Amino acid sequence: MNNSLAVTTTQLTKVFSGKEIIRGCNISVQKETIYGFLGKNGAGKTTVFKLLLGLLSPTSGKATVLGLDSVKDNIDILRKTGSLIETPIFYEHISARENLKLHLNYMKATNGNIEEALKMVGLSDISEQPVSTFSIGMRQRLAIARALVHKPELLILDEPMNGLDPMGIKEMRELFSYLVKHEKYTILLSSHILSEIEKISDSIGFIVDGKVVEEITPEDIKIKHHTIEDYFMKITNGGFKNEKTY
Amino acid sequence: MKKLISLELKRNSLKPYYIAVGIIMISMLGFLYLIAAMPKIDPSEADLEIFSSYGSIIMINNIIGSAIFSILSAVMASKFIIEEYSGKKAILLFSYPISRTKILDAKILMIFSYTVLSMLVSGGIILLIFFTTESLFPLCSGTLTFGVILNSFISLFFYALIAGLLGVISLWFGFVKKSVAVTIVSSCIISSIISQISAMSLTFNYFTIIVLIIAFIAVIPILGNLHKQVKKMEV
Ligand SMILES: Nc1ncnc2c1ncn2[C@@H]1O[C@H](COP(=O)(O)OP(=O)(O)OP(=O)(O)O)[C@@H](O)[C@H]1O
Ligand SMILES: [Mg+2]
Repeated sequence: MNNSLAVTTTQLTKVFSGKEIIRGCNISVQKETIYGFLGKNGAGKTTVFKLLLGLLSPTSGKATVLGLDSVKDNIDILRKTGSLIETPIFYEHISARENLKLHLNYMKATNGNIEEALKMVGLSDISEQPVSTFSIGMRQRLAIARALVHKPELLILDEPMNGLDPMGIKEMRELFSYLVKHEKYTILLSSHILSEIEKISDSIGFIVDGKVVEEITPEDIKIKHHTIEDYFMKITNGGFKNEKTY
Repeated sequence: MKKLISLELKRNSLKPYYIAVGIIMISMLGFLYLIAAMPKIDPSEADLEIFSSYGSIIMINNIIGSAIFSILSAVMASKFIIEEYSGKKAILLFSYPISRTKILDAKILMIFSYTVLSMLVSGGIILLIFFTTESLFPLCSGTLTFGVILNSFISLFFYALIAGLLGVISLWFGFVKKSVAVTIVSSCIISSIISQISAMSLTFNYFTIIVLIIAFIAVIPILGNLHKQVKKMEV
């Protein structure tokens, strides 16, 4: 087992009602890096994240997170990981701060810092408002704060930039870089914004129909494929299945 | 477990359920006096004969209390369990590094205890008030003895336990379907069936204990199955 890897999957497979959604997926995420997960709608990004977190169990294959087995050691993985999956759920009638406080209790975390987390995502001023009054962008920021309030080693963030304004996107990008450089975090995130992934990631995994077809650094994309957009179109349309019909 | 229950209570207030118990208590008290007075209201009606003994009056009171509190338990289960495990909401619960069965057990234990205790307390107050006024100005023609009073409280205790257990059984139906409507409708059906069966013998006796034992035996595999379901749930 390679100690410098935070996440690995080997031949990870998930079948939903007879259909292989994840098909022998292999990924490897280096510790203390940002790994960007790219793929078109329905490619299987969210499903892979859920498999890593034990929200789904694999049909076959294996996922290892922080050296732990995703099925057997699920509880230990959850303790050391912060996550944001799809649209975040909160306890709506209580404040942002209360939500984080409860979360720390459930995470059994002793070294959490609520004020710091709220400040990092720019929510300090409205932390007393009930979450039901929050805008989509504010909810997204709160979800990021919740993912990191217990100081995990790994962040698994499914489309963390969703609903954020350009300022917010820039702030979060800076926050993620800071966490990796100075706080020893490893971050695994997915996004549809190609330029964003390119700017932020140390390596990028392209997932097509439930399988990672290439893991590559942004620099190598530039060298080998010119622009990430060209490359993304080429790779996701692999075999010209989706030729223009108009 | 205590910690988990206190966390539940931090994010879900019990206040509406205290109010509900208060309302139930007042209506039950009114109902108890009504059935006690029934033979006096229409002395010619022979069928009302059964309301002339304390044993059967209290029995009816406790059976109906049990039905109402098992429905209250199902309403709580809908809010604390069914809603939180339906749809995407379960992602949050399953992201906590706490065993899934432990979280579910805490919720069930909290609802069960609340149901049993609130029925005991409100039912206890009702009986105290009723027996006090009965000893001063009796409505019922039966004779009030210490044995009658003791039996009433024992029967209350058994029916409170039955209410709690029936709540768990209807929770199971709701959990299988992940449906609030199924939870509440099944609690209505189950409690009316149990009331019918219990009402077949209108005195407190071994029959109540048999109903309790059957409910208890039914709950054991139900808990096992709920654990199994929550462990393999995918969200
Ligand atoms: N519980 C489920 N049952 C059946 N099919 C599912 C289930 N969850 C996901 N799928 C299917 O798996 C595929 C991958 O879904 P997934 O949510 O992982 O895609 P994604 O890459 O995250 O897409 P998006 O970019 O739109 O978020 C989709 O075709 C989806 O319909
Ligand atoms: Mg997705």
